[in-house]
Amino acid sequence: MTQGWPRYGVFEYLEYEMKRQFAAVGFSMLLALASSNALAQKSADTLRWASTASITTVDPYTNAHREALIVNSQLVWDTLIYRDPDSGQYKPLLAKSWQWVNDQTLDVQLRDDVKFHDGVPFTADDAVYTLNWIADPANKVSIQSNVNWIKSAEKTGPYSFRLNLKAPFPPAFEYLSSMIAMLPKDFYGAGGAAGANGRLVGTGPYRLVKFVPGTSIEVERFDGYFAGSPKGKPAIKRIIYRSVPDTSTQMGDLLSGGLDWMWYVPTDQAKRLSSVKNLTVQSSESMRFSFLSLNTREMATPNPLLKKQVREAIAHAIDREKLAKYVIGAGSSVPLAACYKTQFGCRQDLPQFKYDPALSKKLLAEAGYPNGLTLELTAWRSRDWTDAVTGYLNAVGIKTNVTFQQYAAAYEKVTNNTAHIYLGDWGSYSINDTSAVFNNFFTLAPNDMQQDKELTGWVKAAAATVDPEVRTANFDKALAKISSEVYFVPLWVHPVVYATTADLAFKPYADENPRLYLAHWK
Amino acid sequence: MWMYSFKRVLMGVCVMFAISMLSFGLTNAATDPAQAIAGSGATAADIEAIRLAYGFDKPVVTRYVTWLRGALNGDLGESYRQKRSVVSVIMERLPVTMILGGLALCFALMLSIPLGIFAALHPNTWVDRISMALALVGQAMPTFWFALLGIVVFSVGLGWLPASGVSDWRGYVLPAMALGYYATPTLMRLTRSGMLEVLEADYIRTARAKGLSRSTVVVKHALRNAVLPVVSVAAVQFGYMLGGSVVIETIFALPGVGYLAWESISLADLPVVQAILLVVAVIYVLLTLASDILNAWLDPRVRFA
Repeated sequence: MTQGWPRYGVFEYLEYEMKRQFAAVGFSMLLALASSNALAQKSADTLRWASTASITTVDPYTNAHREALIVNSQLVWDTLIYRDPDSGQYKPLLAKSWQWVNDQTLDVQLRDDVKFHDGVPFTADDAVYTLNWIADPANKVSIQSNVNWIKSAEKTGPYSFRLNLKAPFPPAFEYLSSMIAMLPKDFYGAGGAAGANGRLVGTGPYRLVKFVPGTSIEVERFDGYFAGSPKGKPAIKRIIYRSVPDTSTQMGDLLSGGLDWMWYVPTDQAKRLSSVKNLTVQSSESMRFSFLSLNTREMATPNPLLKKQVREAIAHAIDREKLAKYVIGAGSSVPLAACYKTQFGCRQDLPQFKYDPALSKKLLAEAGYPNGLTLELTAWRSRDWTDAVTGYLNAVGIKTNVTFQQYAAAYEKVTNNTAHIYLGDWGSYSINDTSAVFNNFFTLAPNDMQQDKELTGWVKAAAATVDPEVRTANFDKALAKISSEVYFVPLWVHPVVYATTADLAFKPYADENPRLYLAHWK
Repeated sequence: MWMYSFKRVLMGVCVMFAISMLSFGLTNAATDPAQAIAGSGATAADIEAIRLAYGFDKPVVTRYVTWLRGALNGDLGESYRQKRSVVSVIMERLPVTMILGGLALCFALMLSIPLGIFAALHPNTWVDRISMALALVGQAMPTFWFALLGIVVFSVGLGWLPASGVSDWRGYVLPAMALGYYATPTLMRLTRSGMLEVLEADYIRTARAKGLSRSTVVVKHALRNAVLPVVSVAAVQFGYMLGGSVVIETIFALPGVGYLAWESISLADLPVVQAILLVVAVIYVLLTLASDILNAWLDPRVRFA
């Protein structure tokens, strides 16, 4: 469906296509031959899970992978606050209470009955160390936006401290309940290596047993985990993570009994996998949504997207409902705005661009392109999905030169202003606030493809106050402009397909955070 | 002989320098390492902070010279991701790759030499053609496809072998077969042509005339002479297998240097990528050098070519 060869290279395209075709055929054979030998490690009370991420450091701050940043981190370490995945309420975890002194100052009182896995009590010294270490840019925390709102922390008692923010930060609790895990004092030592103080421990429901960088992480239930934790006492004794970069191999492992849990099963394989006895396949909507970001900057050559009619033509050219239903698969839906529906401030009442290819062609003609035009599109996530979108564009005369590369290379075309359209996606790191989208894409930074000062003003105004009404008003204006100016064309919400052995009871959540500590054997 | 060896060593050193320069330049030109380290969830400010922290704002030449100075002193730098010395990162992974390469080569030789002998003993017959076809399938079939096929049959279907990992010796079987099969046609054809040439030699005719058994003639007399070039080519193939292990180790999740290369490229851990390229180049150059010297020792005409 793509016009001509993609720009990234014939060989790479051929290699991708061959691998995709062979893998699809190979996996079909695999399913046909699959025995019902998908035995769980229930007998050994060990949950074995795999993902493609190669975890080279086990701590939550020198990582950019969700598997280490969130999934494993919440097994070994605890945050100050816990967000209940069912009710969305914030509950005490390591902190038993807290009070906002003002918009930038939070007083926190800690529990006094929590111990690290080596028996050492968790105190305010540990919390203050962690917060001050991660707030210092010199320590190179991987995802700075997760921590750069923190100014400092100061101890006010053996089990209390004061957290100072650089500016009012409305989603502070979202981060304190997910990204900001508490580490032992001097955890990084002088050199910045995790566990440099000899204490590679946490306060979480599991303790770290073995870590092989890039290969595996083994954790074991910590029987000294404090009573009264909202995480509860985990049922499964041992959890082992293995990095398996190829999804087909993961499926092979699952079918042959070498794995108990995997996620991101390709949607075209999910249905076939669900027909295998002794496996459970669940598709859950996630907060991640795909979108087209349309470049409205001046480029080296005349940019057709400066004309609003061209952008509207793009929006009307794509049948998003069909894509979500037939291409993306079960669990997907069409986002109604440039955010995820549960995120604070994400209005759902904006007018939608209906699929109307005739209108697209009319708009292109009005814009001066009666015979169509050619645009540069960069993408990185899924070749199939990219082809589906470019197929619709091609049908109305918008030819696309697709550059499909690794994320870093594709994203460079955005920051270098050499792509008209960026097909990207954003999971917001599971932060349930629209600012998690806006603060990444509409800040007048090099990756801001629209550079709209008025829009950025509203984004900053929403970030500068904790008043929910003021925030909502600014988010409303920002989302309305993004829609009316067609800066973003929200395409589909990503489903995450989980495949587990039938022996395992596991509940997925829309925040793309698998809480393995809640899993248990049936 | 010494002058020949010296010239080959000098050429090898020049090759390694050239590879280090090219790889450093290309890896830094291919992507923005700050963006790759920051990951898909990073903001522009995150990326800029990383760029400054890691020194990516300095010119490539400056960074190369710094790296080269360290490399000549045995310091290949520190992994951006793992925050420890690159040398230790690679040394942890090298044994798996060497074992895999060795087993793959053994598999290739065990398959190609008998096939080559059969083909040579029955030239231009169905035996010859089937042997060639079996060998050529290995070269025509993509390695990753063969690997997946192996998983389908031996892991999922029969349950004999694991689909990934090396918890025990069984974890090496499928990867070794998938990696070794690709080298089979070259070694098989070389064995076949060597045998065909040797079988026509006078001393073979003499051996037959003396009444020696067929197996003695073939194995003890013919094969010993025909297989010499195979040994030197096998050394080079071993180097190829070390480089080609990237795909196999990634598919089977074997914690070797090939998998490390894949991880490091994905994560833009450039010091590790650079070091791996250098290590593989050194091994390849040494193996080629050994092969050249062996050939020169065996055939003096080569020294003066």
